[in-house]
Amino acid sequence: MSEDSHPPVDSPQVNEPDYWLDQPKNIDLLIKILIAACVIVVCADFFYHKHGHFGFQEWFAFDAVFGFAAYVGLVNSAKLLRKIVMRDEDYYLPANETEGEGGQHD
Amino acid sequence: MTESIAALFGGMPPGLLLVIAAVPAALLPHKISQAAMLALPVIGLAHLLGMPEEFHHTIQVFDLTLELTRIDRLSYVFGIVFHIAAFIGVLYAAHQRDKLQAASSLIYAGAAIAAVFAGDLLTLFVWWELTALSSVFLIWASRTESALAAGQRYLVIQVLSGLLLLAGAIQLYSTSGSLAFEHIGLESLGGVLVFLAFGIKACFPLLHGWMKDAYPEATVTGTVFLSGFTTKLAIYALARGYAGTDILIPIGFTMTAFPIFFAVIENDLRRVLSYSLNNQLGFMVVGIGIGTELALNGTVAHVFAHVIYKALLFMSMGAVLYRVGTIKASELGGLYKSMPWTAFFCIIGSISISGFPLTSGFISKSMVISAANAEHLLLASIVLLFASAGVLDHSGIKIPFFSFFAHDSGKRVEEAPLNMRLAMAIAAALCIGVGVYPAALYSILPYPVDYAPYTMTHVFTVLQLLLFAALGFVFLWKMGWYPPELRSVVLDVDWTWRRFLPQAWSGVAEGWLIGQRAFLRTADAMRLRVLGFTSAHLSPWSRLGEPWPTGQTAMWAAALLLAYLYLSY
Repeated sequence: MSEDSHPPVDSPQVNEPDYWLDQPKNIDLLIKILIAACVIVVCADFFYHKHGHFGFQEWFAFDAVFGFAAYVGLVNSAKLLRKIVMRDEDYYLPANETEGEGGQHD
Repeated sequence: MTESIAALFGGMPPGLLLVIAAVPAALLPHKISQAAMLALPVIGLAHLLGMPEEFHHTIQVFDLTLELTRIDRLSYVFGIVFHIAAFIGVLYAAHQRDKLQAASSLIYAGAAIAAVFAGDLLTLFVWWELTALSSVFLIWASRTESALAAGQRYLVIQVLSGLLLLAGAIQLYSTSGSLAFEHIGLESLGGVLVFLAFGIKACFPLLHGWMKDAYPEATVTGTVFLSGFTTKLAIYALARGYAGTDILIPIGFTMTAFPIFFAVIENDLRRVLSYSLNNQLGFMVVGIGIGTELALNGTVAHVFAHVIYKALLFMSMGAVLYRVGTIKASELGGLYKSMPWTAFFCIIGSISISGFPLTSGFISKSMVISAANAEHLLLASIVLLFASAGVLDHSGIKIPFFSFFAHDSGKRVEEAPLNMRLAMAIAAALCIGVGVYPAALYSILPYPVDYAPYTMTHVFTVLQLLLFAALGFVFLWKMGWYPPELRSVVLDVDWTWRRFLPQAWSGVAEGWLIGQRAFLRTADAMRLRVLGFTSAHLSPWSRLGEPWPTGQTAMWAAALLLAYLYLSY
């Protein structure tokens, strides 16, 4: 069970079974499986000829590199986007509905 | 059997039954009502399947020819998937005793179905507006202040879309003398107006604000219905009226890329799904813009696959909201322990939308991408590939990961009700079924299909893209670089009318007040100066105000009279 859990009173977790995913070694196992799968699908490129409409589509492991780069690029640019468009949760709430002592905007 | 049901309805469009029977069915006692409501989409589907492949039914109203029913290869597929979506939605909502929602959801589904069978623009307009009017109740049924406000904003924009459609239809009628809903194109003013009307409902970039605003405010079950019909009706309308319109290609690929950045940082998971919906619509719009047989087949296949896996994802997030009471990623985590079935179905939806082999997304999205490749559209091809990797983040990983896994929130709840699980199971089975046996879907597409999704190149390139994107997630997560889920709102284009315009207006009003005040202040100062001047020079004690001697006054009077006399001659 993770250390940051705060169970509601009416749902005791004392008798919960040990979950497979709660053990860090199993998470590591899943990651290893993912890495193995990645290696396999890249190595597959050796065994057949790729058909592409554009030249770069036939490059070795093009989609693998593109997928990784696109993903990391996307997430990092979204983090930058947060600086511009993220506001407090009560941003759109009218003043009288503001929750807690959270700051009011405008 | 199906033929006899079809004969029963005469030439009436499929979908009309749902509209007419919705209110009576909803008013029955709960159990009978649920049975009736489940039966209606089944009867509706039987009606459609019993109709001939090509069917037209027109009526004459004054000098207008209205084509109430037009069944052809294009409208047929939409009719089928809309019926399936209606059935799944009704089943998902079966535990609920809210007659308002029950009736409005069936009217909404029925109106959308009837709309795709409308053969002229006026009939389309009527159903188009009915989908708007009936669906807003699914938002208002949340019965919260914010849902009320979001519903009002939604209704204004939806009705505006309808009015643009009507204006465009009138314009087209006055130039061509026909209301028939065939290829329209952008050559005339009417064509542009209708294009905008469709574009609003299809969530073109910058016209999309209504969806991410309203859908997450709807009820648990309402969003499942909403996700299915309105936007796909718009896709149908675009495919009918604007296939091969080049501008749709950049519009479409912008739609695939633009919303996914927002989806990464949005905290409300049903809003994440709305952004994801917008991204998926982009693939369909690109397909319509390309307009080749492969592209249009791809668009229609993608609609079919998408309606089902998107409903599945909204159902799983709805089940979480229903049980936990919140759908904010920052509050969730570890729910697989108490909702394993929901988690399982959600993952099926996630891998389907991501387009893993053996799922429906794989066999549909790839048709659109292949069509873009075949036309040598380099930019479109690259953006679509980028968007495919992006889908894996928000729908493939973020949705299941932050709700069911990630850090255990400690929340322990009941599994979703049986009817919800059944609805999710049917949707999940369809996602896998279509992926494993695509021939069934390909056989009902508008054009003959000459496309093999399961080639070595395709399977391995897709796997490379998706698995390495997943590796990207593991990398960012392990390094602690993945952005944490934060309690927040993300501003989008709806900010313009929710904040900017009201504030600009109050700015104008304030400016007016300041100006008014300055004017009054100046006017008052002027008044005081005039008063000071006159009291200084005309008061009884001043030089001019003191009493004059009689002789002097008489002389002045005489001078005045002389001047008068002189002037009158």
